[in-house]
Amino acid sequence: MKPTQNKTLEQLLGTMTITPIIEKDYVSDVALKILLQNLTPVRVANSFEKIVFNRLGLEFSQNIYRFATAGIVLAVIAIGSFASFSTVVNSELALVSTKNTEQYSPAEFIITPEKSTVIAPVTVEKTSVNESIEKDDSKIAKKKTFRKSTVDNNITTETKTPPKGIE
Amino acid sequence: MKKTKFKDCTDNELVAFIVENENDAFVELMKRYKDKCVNYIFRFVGDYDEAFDLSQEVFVKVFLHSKSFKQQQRFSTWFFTIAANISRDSIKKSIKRNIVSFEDLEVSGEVNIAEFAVSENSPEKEYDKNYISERVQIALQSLKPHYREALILKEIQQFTFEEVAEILQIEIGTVKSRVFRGKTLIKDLLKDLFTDFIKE
Repeated sequence: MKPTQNKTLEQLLGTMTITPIIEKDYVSDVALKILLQNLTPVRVANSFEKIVFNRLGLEFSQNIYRFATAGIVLAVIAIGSFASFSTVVNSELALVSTKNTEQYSPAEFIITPEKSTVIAPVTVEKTSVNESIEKDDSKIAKKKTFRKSTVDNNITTETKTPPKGIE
Repeated sequence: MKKTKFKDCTDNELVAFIVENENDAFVELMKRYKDKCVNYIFRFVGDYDEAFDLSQEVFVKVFLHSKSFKQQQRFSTWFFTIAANISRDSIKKSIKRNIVSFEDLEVSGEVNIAEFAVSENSPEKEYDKNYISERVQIALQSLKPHYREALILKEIQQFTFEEVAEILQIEIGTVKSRVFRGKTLIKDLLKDLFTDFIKE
């Protein structure tokens, strides 16, 4: 006769060992073994590997060299890209400076790829360009002073005539 | 060698790759041993944060001393020798600093094992499991360090007596007597553990 037929090993162990281990004022060898082997495992953060690598990066010279190499490569790329960018900007500015400023309003000085491709005929000398800019500036300056003076006038007139009730 | 291929490597092969500056092999080794390491140190020192920090120290040492590993050795015993030494040093330092014991912290409610435990069961079952785990942990902390480390390595990490002797660098006979003595002491400390679970 086989009483344990159709039972899994887990069920068999459950009936054989787990039930008798719970005894009052006594812990058997088997119970202790199970207790120690089934202690709730502690959770280890996923950042563990990264932290260890960081710690090694501080102490292990090879990683420092790697970081330094990466830094130099990045710096070279950054300098190269900046240099090419400044070349493009300079060429764009050169094209704009050759334009006839008398034919274009100040708003058209904004650099756009479409406009920069149009090369205006050079008819005006450099000095005339400067004059026109100076004129524009003086106009703006005058407007500003005019506004200021009107505000000041208003304030003085108000203080000169106090309300009647106070007198 | 690609990262995925390290999964099929043995521990000893991984160490050989680490020596050749294959950092992905080291990542694989950490994945295999970080849980065992943190759990071992946590059972020994009784503080999760300290166990986490000390485990990092273990892996840093493994990486830096990988060249001194002999391929005829078993990696797990070499690894746990480092872990055991670091844990022992930490205990010595904490005794010198006169840090409050784990048991004192537990009673005052400053440490809760359940906070760091992996939860998979129902809340009621989880509560019972955590209660038992905490009681066993407190009992472990009450043992003297040399009984504690032998018991943890033999019964929790499930090393053989020979392996424990190799890890702790002591005689097999000494390991056997320490494990036996440790078991006797802890059983005495836990004798009332099941009282609450038995219906009258």
